[in-house]
Amino acid sequence: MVHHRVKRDELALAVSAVPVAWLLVATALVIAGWMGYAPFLTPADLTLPEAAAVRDHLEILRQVESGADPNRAARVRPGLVRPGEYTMTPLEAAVASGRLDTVQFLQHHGARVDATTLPGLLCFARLQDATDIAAYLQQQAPPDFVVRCEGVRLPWTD
Amino acid sequence: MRPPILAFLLAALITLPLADSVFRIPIQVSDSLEAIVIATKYSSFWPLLTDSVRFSTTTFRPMRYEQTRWLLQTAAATGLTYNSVFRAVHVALMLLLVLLFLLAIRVRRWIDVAAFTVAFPALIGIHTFVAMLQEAYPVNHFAEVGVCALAVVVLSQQRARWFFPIVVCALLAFALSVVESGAMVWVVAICCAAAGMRGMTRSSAIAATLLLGAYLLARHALEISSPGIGGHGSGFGGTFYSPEELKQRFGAHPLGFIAYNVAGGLASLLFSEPRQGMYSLVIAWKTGAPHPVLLINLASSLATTALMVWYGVTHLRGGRAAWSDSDRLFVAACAVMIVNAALNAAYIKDEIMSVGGLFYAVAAYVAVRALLETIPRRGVVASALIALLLMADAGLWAFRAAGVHYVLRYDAFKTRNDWVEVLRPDKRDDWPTDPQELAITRRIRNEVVLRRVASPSFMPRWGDRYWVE
Repeated sequence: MVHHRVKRDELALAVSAVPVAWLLVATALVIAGWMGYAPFLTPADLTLPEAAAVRDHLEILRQVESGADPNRAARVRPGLVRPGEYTMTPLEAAVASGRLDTVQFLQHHGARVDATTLPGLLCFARLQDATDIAAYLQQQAPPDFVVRCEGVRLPWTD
Repeated sequence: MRPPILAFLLAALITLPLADSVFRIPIQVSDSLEAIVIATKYSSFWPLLTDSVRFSTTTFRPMRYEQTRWLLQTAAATGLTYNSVFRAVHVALMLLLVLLFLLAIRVRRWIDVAAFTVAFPALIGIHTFVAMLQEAYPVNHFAEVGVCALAVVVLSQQRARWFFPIVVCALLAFALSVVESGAMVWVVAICCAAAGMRGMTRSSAIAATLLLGAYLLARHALEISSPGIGGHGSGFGGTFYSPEELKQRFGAHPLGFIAYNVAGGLASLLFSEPRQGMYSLVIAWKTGAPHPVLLINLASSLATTALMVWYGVTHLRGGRAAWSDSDRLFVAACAVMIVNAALNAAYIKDEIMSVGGLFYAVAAYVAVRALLETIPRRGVVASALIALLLMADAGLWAFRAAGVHYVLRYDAFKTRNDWVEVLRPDKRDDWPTDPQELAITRRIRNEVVLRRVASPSFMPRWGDRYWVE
């Protein structure tokens, strides 16, 4: 009887171990997140171009309402638009990610699509095969606007 | 350390981080903002109560608005943000659910702890639980119903006392006043009485039934109908249909569709399929590529349901008089799941099955514990196989439970971004004209804008394949 009891208790503990271990891993990840060690579990501090790249419109709104310049280039971390890290404007990041709604959102919140930025963005959209963005940007252009993509600089060189 | 304390500590360790994930979700625009705006327009209880019964022709939820008004007042009195107050209530409800689950399953021995470590991940990991956590109107009424339902089970396990009928009726009245699924509290009371649980006397069951009858009469008198087919979108086979499409396709001959929904509701609990009425298996059959999340959910649910079938076959043959307390709890839990499925008659939604999901975990606990208790009578090979089966099943459920964090963080991002459409600077014509409404909308929006959430782009991409359906 005593033997059976010991065996049963040992087995009970062994069976408990797997799910407890799983859940403790999940718990440890969250606690690590609280301490800042797990970036995917904590609110990441995004630059404005990064927020554009990941279509985080509310983060764009928060930064613009806090006084951030929606035309200023800043870093975009590796993996968000391409494998490397780049410096680009929010509009370039939105084009690089192929997100037309983000391009429009940025424009509504102060990002400039004018004679200075339009050629670069339009060529960039075409190079990216982002046809919807290219068509939208073309609509923004004056009727006599002719695109010349020679010499237009991409945000990356690789 | 004693087994109940270990179970409590494990539950706390797992639940508190989950509370963090729940708290991070901002107040929702859909379902929540409108109720908050309405609640701000009333300064006292009765005018809001009397007006709220006329807010809809298909829903009767007077306490939805009263609770919202109280929480707004709490925020004003304490100086806390609206988001903090509403989300704190959400978290408190989840903690209550876990506590009541612990009380309902009664962990006392080491073998109970082992059964708990399978049942608790099943409670957290089942799709109906995460669906319940995602709800907010702006208070989580499905969680409130779950709390009331589990409280009735906990009462039913005690020795009957004179005040139990009053408590059961109070829980039922409260649940019915927040959402129609509150009727599940009555279902739980009746199922506990039918299973012969000692605390649920005939007087409690009769009182609860009379109260439900009065509720239905009140709805009838107020000309509040139930939403029929076409009141909500739902799936059929491998396709999701809009309300209009459902009405067109099934409106004239609804019986087949109703039977499909009820059977599908029960199947979704037992096998994690279908979801919202759609069988992912059908889609996987057509595409030839089953999604990993489908396989994980199906395997964990199939194994646990098979255990429950084994328990029913081996333990319930003697008739009601011969049943143990565990048998009665198991029968009540299974009966609740079956009746819960009937609430899906018009459309299938995971939230509607949320009470059934809680009782699925209760029934799983009873079955797993019974299986573990057979081990001393079995040979080494059979014992090892049982241990392997339970470890695999528990591991799958724990994996599903860990994914709840992932899904909730996704939800926090999505919910926060829904506020982008509110008070858009380029659409000032859409802004509320009432200054009070504008002020509260602006305040909540500003709170949400400042609330930081993780972007899914920073979460591991493999999580989509294994946790997001």
